[in-house]
Amino acid sequence: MLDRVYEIFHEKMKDKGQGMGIGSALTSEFLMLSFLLIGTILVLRTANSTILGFGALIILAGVLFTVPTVFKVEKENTDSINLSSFYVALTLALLLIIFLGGI
Amino acid sequence: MEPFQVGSFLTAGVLIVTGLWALLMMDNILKKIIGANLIGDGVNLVLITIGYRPGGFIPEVMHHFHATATPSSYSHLLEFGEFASNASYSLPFALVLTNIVIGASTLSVMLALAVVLYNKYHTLSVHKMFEGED
Amino acid sequence: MLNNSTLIPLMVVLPLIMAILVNFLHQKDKSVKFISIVSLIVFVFIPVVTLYGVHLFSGHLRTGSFPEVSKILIPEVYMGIVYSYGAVQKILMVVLTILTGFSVLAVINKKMISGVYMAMIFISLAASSAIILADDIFNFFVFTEILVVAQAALVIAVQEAKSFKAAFKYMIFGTISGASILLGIALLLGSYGLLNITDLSHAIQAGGALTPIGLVAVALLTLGWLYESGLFPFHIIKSNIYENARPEISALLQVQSKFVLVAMALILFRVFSGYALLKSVILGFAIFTVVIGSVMALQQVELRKLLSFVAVSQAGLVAVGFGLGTPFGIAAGIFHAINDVLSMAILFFIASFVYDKFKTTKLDELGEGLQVVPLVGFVMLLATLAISGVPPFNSYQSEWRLIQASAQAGVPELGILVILLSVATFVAIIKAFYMIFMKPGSKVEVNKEVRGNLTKAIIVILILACLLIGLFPNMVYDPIYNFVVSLGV
Repeated sequence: MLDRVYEIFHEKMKDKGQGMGIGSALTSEFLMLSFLLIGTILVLRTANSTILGFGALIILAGVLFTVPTVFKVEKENTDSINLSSFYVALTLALLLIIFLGGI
Repeated sequence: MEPFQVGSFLTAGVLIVTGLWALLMMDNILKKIIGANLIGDGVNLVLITIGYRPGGFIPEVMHHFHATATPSSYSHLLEFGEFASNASYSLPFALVLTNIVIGASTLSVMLALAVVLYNKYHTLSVHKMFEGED
Repeated sequence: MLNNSTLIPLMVVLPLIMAILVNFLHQKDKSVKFISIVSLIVFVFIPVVTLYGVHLFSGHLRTGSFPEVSKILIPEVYMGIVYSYGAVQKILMVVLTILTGFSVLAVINKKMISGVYMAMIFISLAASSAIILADDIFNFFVFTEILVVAQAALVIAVQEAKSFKAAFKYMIFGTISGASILLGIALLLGSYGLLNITDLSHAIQAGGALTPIGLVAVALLTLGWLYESGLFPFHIIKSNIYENARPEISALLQVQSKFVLVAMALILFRVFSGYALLKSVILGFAIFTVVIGSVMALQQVELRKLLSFVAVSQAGLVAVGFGLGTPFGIAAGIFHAINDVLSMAILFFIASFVYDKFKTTKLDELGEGLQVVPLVGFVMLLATLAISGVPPFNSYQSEWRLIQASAQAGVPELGILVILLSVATFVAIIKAFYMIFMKPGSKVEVNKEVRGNLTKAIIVILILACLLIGLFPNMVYDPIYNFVVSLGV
């Protein structure tokens, strides 16, 4: 797949900017994956919790199966008020679960 | 007597949850604004409820602090310890007063924005306003 | 430490008075201009001459509490509102007032001057000063709410549909976060009977482990902090605000949000100093913001939007320093906040200049700018190097300290993260630089009337400040480190 990576991105970005656009999309894709990898290593190494470790591994596996992720990230970060509301509610719930349940 | 006002706390919880529901789930811009205001009201009610003390007295309405009190009403003034251990807590009321003012100004700005947005898009639906971005 | 300095509250009171004054002088542009410039000189002057200390409002001294009747866990409490002024506050206030001054000068220079607009800038200055200074958690809350309204008003003043929508979103979520901060304060007040932050932190330490009510308060205050500083779930809202304000105002808004981030994180850490989970949670949200912010910044094709996401991801980097939780990490985070607001302000001022000169900030349409404005292009290149942590500029010093702090805290992976972020930031901004200044084939008309001498002067001064801090970092860093150590968080 790695040898066709440019073609894949070219196909996905037909309606957007070409050339530099593809370059920056590729950069952000690699950055995203390396951030994720480092994050997973961090969680696995420092967290004392089995649930958290498994969660991190599952998320990593899930993301690796959906490569290229960068378009999905972009879709989840639009200016829509409903998406933001959803993430805010999710965060509030997550914070309460973490602090009260103590992962 | 119960140690605190359960009913008041429950009402506050209902207000906050209703407000959050309206804010997150409802499409109408005015309903969102009303929801935002309801959350503030719920929090104010929590603050007021904190000031409650079962069987305590409220400093503001105690008879010997009254303007028409005669010197004899001061004769049985409470000891400080007794007063402090029985008085209801009046700091939260001051906080609520401040928060009401802030809430009112925020509400007015949001309503003004709603008017402007309605004039621009001729709809109250947040979904329709915010789609077609860019 | 206990000199009851009258100059400290003036930092909040004077901007408020001036805001009311210029508001009344609506449509008298000359007097507004005069008053604004004079009062800004005073605002910069006050933090410089004020001595470290605390101000006790209405002179209420610290008095004995009545543990036998009120169940307050510590022997002495503050009876009134307290403002404290230490090394970190001094540095933040000086940077904040100077950058506010630059923004106001840019606004005046563009002939967009209006009494109400200036009043909003002053109110936001007063609110962020109060947030930095306040040692009282309710006073802090009041000013965060005022700051939200003032910032929304500054965005509304652009008078475009997009800015109305951004401001509306900002205010709606501001209501949620404000309510959650207030509820957290109410729960703390109910459990400990205190509002003063110093007293509260003593009482919580004396009280041992946090109760479930205390834990809910931590969660609610953390949500409020995420909003005020524009971290993960709120990063889109914050970047929308930066994007839709005028660029020279965005330069001001990002300073305010980053300093509010620092101030509120310090409050959280002081109040819940013994609670380790809070630090991990902050670290998690910070990393998430860094990742999403930098990835989104790389995707943008519009200069202002790109810079907004870079600003958000840099705020995440500041929060990483706090998430490490060691004094070294926190000091590095605060230092990075100061360095970052300076270089970010340069980039926003350049965006403002580009917008005036070429009437657009869409990267596709711009090009060949270096032949038109070589100085601005050169400064933008330097600012790009500065923000992505290249020596000898200032961000290098703070990012290096962040990496060192993460290695010291036992998480060297975070050091790699910081390096990756600086690479991402560099790629994102250098792309913008190439597309504005070097790409052949410009589709825009150059507005010859716009000379922008003031903007040029501002960006040159700021880049020199960046270079100065980069060459002599200890001048700024040592007071911060000593302050953080003295806090004992």
